[in-house]
Amino acid sequence: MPSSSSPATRGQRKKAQQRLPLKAFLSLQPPPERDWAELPLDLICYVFHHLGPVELLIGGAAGVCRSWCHAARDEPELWRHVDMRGYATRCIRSHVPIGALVRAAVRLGAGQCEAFWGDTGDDDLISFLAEQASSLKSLRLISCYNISKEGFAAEITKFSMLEELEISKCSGIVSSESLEAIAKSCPRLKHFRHIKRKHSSLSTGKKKDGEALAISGMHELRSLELYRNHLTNKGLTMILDNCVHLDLLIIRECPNVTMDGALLAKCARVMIVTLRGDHYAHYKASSSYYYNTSKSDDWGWYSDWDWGWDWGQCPTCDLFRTIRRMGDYEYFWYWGGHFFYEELQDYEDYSRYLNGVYVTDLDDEQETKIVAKSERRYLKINTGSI
Amino acid sequence: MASAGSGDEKAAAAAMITLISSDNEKFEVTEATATLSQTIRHMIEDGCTDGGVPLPNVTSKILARVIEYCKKHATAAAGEEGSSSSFSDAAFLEVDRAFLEELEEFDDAFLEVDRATLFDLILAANYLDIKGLLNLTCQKVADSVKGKTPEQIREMYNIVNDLTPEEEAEIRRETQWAFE
Repeated sequence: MPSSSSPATRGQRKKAQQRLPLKAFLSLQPPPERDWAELPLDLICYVFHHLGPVELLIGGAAGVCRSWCHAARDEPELWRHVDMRGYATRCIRSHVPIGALVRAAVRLGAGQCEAFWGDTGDDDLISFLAEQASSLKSLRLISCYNISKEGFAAEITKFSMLEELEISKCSGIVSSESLEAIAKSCPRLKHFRHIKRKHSSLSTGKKKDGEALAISGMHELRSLELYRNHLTNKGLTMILDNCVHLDLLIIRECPNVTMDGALLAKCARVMIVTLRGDHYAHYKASSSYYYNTSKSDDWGWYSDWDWGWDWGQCPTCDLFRTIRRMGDYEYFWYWGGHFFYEELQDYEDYSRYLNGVYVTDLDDEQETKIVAKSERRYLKINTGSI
Repeated sequence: MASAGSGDEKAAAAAMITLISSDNEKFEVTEATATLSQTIRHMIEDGCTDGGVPLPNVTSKILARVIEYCKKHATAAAGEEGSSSSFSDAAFLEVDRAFLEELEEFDDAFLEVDRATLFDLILAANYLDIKGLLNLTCQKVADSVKGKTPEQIREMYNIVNDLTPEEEAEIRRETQWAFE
């Protein structure tokens, strides 16, 4: 207070003392309440966006009042992007049938669902999606061991709008026929990620270009990620020759590809990232700079660790614009203007080392069985409730 | 490049915008701070900020908080733009990370408000179209609701239950069918 600098008279001081309690009292009064039921609908939806599909389906928010219930049940906008990844494990522990939740979420999208990402599912799920959400633009199937080659081939024909597709660790779908069906059925496909599970067969040097041939039929591809594929230089050349829009190619643990001069010259327009075993090598072929983070010398490039390479940009969709910060992340995905950073462990999960057996020592069928078994066990031990 | 950058900064520093709250209090802020709000950015682009920008939906108390947020995050945005040219500099990533952490701490502290203020901040962020602030505040509400029963949420946010017993039973059935 300005008056405090000059000596105050006794009367003034007394007055100030009298005023003080009133002020203190006023500041202690709780602010007037707001009616959260009256929050505009679009803002309730905005809050609900942050809840995630499972919480929104079985959590308390929908039962609070009429306006919240209306937002949670009658707004297809909220279910445009259904991301069910990460819930499968927790749902099993809580005895919640995840399949039923997936269906409920997609139904609430009322045919407007554009992106579905999930890490559990079978043939029924694929046919359900084909029926209820055939206008999907983004579909990511991760660890959906129970989808069969036949089931997939029958339903993929119905997703003609797909622009992004991921098939990772779905051992049932892995075949060149499945990839051919994708190439045929999804003419708009721009981004394709295909991660295979770890197999001992990969290191035995089996060379197969059947899948590469199928991929070379995906003519609109902008980005392609292949992990643990048997393709050779010949197959990669086929892809580069036929997918003329390809900007970004990520190949990891593909032992039959050797980045020689001929191949680098072939893909001068494409940004390439390779990873062999645990070692990275990044190429930016278009400007003849090779950013390499590999500790192994067999590539012969620089060996400094440097996350600051320039990722460039996909001219069609702003892909990879701000990847500079991805140092902590092995995987990322871009959808609807947002980056989704994903940790390596999302893919290389706990199940690999359970039951005392490292799963690369097993064949496909054994692996599927043991994973299903150990997953259930893992859930009981390690996951928190929803 | 460097000289052009500092020239821009000077120009931005020179351009001040006056924001006027619903209770007629005036706040002078830099254009860089103000344009975190898309609403104000459009007004500036249309050249209708002379004599101040009246914000009849925002009280001085809330506007002061919003400006506090924008000031902090405008510096962050400026830092990001500046650093993009030196992507290969490993040291910058460290600085970047430290700054991001600081920003996170600021956001956490910023959200230590009562429910009414949070409500007003959401409305203001929406009206002023400040995406970062809207995300931040809505996330806070979502986090507080997670894992709670309808009764707990009603109590927490002082919401009156206007559902009929039949409707409530219907919703309970819907949310519990999963547990059969």
